[in-house]
Amino acid sequence: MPMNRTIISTINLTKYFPVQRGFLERVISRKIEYIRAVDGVDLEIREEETLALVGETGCGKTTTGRLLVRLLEPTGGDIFFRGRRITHVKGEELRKLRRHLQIIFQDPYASLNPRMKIGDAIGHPLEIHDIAKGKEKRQMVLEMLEKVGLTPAERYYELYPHQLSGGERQRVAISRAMILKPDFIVADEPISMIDVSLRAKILELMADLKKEFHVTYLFITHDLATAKYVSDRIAVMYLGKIVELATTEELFSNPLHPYVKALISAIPRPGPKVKRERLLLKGEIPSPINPPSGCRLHPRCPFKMQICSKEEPKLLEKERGHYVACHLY
Amino acid sequence: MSLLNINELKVYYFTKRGVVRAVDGVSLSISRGEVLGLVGESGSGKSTLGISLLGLIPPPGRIVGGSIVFDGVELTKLSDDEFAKIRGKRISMIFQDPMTSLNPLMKIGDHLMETIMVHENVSKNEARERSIKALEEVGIPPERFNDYPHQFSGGMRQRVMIALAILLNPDLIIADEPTTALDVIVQAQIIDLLDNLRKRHNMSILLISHDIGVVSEIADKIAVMYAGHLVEMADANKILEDPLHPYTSALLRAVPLIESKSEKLYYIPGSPPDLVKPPRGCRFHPRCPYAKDICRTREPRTVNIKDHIVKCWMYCDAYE
Amino acid sequence: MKGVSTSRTIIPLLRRIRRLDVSEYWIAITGAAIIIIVSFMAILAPVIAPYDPIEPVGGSLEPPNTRFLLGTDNVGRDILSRIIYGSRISLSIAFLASIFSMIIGASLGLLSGYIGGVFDTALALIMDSMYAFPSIILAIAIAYVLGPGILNVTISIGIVYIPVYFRMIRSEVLSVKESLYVEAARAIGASDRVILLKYILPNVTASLPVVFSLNATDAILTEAALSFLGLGLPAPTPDWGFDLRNGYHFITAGYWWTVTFPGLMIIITALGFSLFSEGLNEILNPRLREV
Repeated sequence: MPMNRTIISTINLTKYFPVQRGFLERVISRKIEYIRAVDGVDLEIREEETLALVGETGCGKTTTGRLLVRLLEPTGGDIFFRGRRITHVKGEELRKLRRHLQIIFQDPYASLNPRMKIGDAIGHPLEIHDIAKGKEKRQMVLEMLEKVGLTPAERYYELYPHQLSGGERQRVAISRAMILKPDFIVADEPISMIDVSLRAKILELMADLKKEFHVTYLFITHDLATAKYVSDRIAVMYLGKIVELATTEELFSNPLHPYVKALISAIPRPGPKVKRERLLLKGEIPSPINPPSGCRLHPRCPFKMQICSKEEPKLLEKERGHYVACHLY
Repeated sequence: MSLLNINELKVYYFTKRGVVRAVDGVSLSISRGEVLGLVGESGSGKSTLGISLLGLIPPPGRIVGGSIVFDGVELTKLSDDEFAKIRGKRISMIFQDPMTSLNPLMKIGDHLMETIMVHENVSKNEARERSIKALEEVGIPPERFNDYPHQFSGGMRQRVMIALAILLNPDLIIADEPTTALDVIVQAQIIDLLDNLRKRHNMSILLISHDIGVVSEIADKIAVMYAGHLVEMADANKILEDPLHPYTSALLRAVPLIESKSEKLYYIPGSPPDLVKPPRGCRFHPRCPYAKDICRTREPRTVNIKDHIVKCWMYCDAYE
Repeated sequence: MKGVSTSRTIIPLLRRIRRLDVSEYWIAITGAAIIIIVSFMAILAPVIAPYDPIEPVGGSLEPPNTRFLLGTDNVGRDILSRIIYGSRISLSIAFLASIFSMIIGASLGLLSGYIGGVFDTALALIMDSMYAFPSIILAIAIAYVLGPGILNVTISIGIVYIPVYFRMIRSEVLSVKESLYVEAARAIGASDRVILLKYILPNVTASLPVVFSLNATDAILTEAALSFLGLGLPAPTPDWGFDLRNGYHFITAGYWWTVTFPGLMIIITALGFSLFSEGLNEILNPRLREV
């Protein structure tokens, strides 16, 4: 069981993006519309756990990830790192913070500088934070390359990204994030662009490094099955809000929120064809610009009640450690 | 009598780097009303196989051998004009990315109508009626007939593509990763839709995907490709419960399941092969836990064990 | 292979050249050959030119003969020698002006694209206005203001082409700025300066070699034009444009060699650069013929 100390927490975290408008639109109407990407998220991530953040398009999981590593600044709410308020840090303070908060991106083909040698790319954080230079830096990079299985390390050091496969590139991205031995890493869909037969390798690597460096992960994914495999706890998001949060076993053995039930039943299963009863939601995810009133799922929810379109349900603890935001409970 | 019969098909790309043997001697067949799921990872050749059925292989690729017989017609010998008559009408295709597959400047209603009128000599009104019907069948309300693609969400755009595909009542639909770009719940909706449509119209579907889970939802038969070869093909239930080829079983173990029997997820060591210089012998041998000497030197024969086709030396001895 | 950055990618470039076949590089080779020949002409001028280009060494307007292979001009100077020495002027001005434009234009484009905001909008507006002028007109205007002389001519031509580099680099910067690896650089804590120099700059210089040679082509022609119009270099300096101007008066009387040979040199040299830039473009950014 991971330690109970909270490493990252958010209170009412909010991020709105103004909708881009054409010149004429800006002249004609004053009203600015906002994409409510993240709309009041409360999270507590515990030290050395892997918390999966699951959701479909437009749920805000990617934006949340970027907010937590301060690649974006929140529109509202607060973020705390080890009790320290980091919501609006800037400049040098932010730079120093980056030693502790890192991110692995989804696309291994786009997250590496095409004109930078692998060795230089991985070693760059060491230079930036004045940890090591020259020979010492090179040595640390070579060690890292060995750890992630990119051997012979000396050879990989000199290569450029385009000479590597997708899986190898992702390992480089992981090395770059890990070399500073950060406290917290946001992994944004790290395997969704990797071949199926190679995904487990990346996951295994991430698990090994987690043990060795005592890192905490926020694992962002749209795939519940992967989330089940890697995480200790899972938070499910829908249209900018968390709808359910529980330990992994709890979530699958006892899903409460209708959206979560629908997600679970929609997952294709490579098993013998049994006619399953699917809990299907009608329609599709509405736009995050004008989310439905009250509970955001209500237009699609098979259990909709009167109150659902009027009042937004709060995220409440239904059972120990199991939170759900739904009027059914 | 099968609708589609592919025999020893070879499709090569002649690039500057060398000859890419994308499809290297693949044989399979699809019967009327049957769904064949074609599974493989990147570089397996599954997409090339799909587009070769429509004569849409981009240069520098071309068919260098084998035959494709569709309802008695040899497709490899058709001219582009003759193929155009079949394309869309008797064999149609659904592509992966609905964003880029629809003409952004054309209302979807017009797109549908034009498709009908190009192939059949009907009045505009009749074309419109049939178009509206097709949209309803895929779950798009008729009010959206005059909308442009950008006004639809990803899932709805894919439904429009499906409407286009079934419009002329084709015998065979090729769906190349139709749900990869979609969310899980929409994906389930689309798969269910495809299943319903094919039952109603008695269409065959070649469902191509890297996701064996998606495929297994509606496939009657599943075929697995690796590095341009067809390594296994059988009834869907059989292959999922009892895969014969090491690659298939490895692939099944690499996919996380909701109700998993084992806690561990496996990966296949090594990396996908270079199709310009594929490994000698069995192309999977560098990554196969059961590789023997013969696997490294000679390409395995394809054997048929009671309608379970597998291309692996482990099964050749017993059934010589 | 996408493109060439100014320093590190010679090796991949050579690898790419090895994989080419003749049809792809004959244009670049031809262009390069011309440039190299003219360059040698310029470098070895004192050695290969038969006479001093400034001194009258023969009779006025002698047709091509055994003593003066290309004839003499009205003052009695050997045209061949003048052409050989003229290559020095043309090539050095073309190179220097192009380098000047590139350094200033690219730097401004880099800064402007990255900083954005009002600074960028204002600068882009200025650059676009300059770009809207036909290059010759602008060159004439600036040359007129600055006056004659090699340095001034170089600067005039240089200024004219700054907007070209600015626009090109700026648009590349705008797109690279949004790429994931720049975001990743920010995530590891890189400062703006580091991002600009290590992550953005190397990725926007892909088209520079091609634009540079196109630039040089234009510079040769513009320099000749300026001299032709009398705005370039002072009188006895051997210069193709100037000789063209000079000889211009005598064509009607039948003294064709005074114009033809300087004119030919201008054409051939410009052609050389033009072919080279086209060929280089083909090599570096090949048309997508492969899947």
